[in-house]
Amino acid sequence: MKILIADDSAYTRKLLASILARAGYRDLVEAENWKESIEKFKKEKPDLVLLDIIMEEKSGIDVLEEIMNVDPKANVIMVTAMGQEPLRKKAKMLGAKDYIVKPVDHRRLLKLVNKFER
Amino acid sequence: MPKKYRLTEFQKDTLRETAHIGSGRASTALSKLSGEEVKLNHPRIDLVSTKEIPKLVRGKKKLVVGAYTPISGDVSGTLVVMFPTKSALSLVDLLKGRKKPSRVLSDEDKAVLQEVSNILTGSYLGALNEFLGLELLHSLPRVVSTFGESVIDLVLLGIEERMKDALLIQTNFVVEKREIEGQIVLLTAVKSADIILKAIEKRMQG
Repeated sequence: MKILIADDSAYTRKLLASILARAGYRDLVEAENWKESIEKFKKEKPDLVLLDIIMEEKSGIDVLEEIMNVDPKANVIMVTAMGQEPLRKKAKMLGAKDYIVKPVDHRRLLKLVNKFER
Repeated sequence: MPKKYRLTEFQKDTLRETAHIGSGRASTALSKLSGEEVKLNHPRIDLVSTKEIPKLVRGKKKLVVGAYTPISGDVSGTLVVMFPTKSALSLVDLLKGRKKPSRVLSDEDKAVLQEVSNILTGSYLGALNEFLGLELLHSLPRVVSTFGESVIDLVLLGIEERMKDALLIQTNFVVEKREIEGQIVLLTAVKSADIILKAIEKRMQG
């Protein structure tokens, strides 16, 4: 399964990649800003996207909207420090499959990721 | 840690993510209180001389309501929640269900802001405790109504003798629908910055 980790924090990308790699997920792609997130989504066609919300210039919610415009069936899990209900609702309405609030609970992350195994 | 400590880009990034986690949790609390979405900006991370800090804080020449809380435990420092006076009034009006906008902040209003700041401080530090595996303790914030730079001066009065440089982590937030804005400023000793970075490193190693 190919997973795109879209987060502008190098630390978080490294952390998520390390959790996923330890669980056996090897096909990992990283994007460090909103533009790269959309470009890599189009180019790499990942099975799953882990998408942050607080990014410079453009919010992850806007990125989610663009990704869903490219592929309405895209599997996107929001991984963010923002646990606010209005944002959760917005993400769900736009098509996000789930929502994880940082700090990331490793077990919950892997449980959710496993659901998308083909 | 060397005397003239400089943060690498990766360390700045990890501290920024730490600030996201703290302010993200605080914004969730504020969103619950206000019933509105709260937007956050990218936190500012600086390792600076304590003398420079009042100049770096947003709204230094504006009247604000500031609530500051000393942090103890594994990390020492202070967390400041600051609202421009107009925003502080709007927030209290919203929370108390006042239809007519207030112009003057009463003692009762200050008590409301103290409680709000206490909730935001507890949320911010609680998230950091969870993330870092450390124990950051806090007491009830002290609320003052003065100029932005004076709030920081007051905070520094208590700590300046003990430290020349400090880590400044500043996050601005806004509740657009209610025209409420503010900032959360975390000030810690350089030694504490090192403790935070080591805790993050430990977390990374799983």
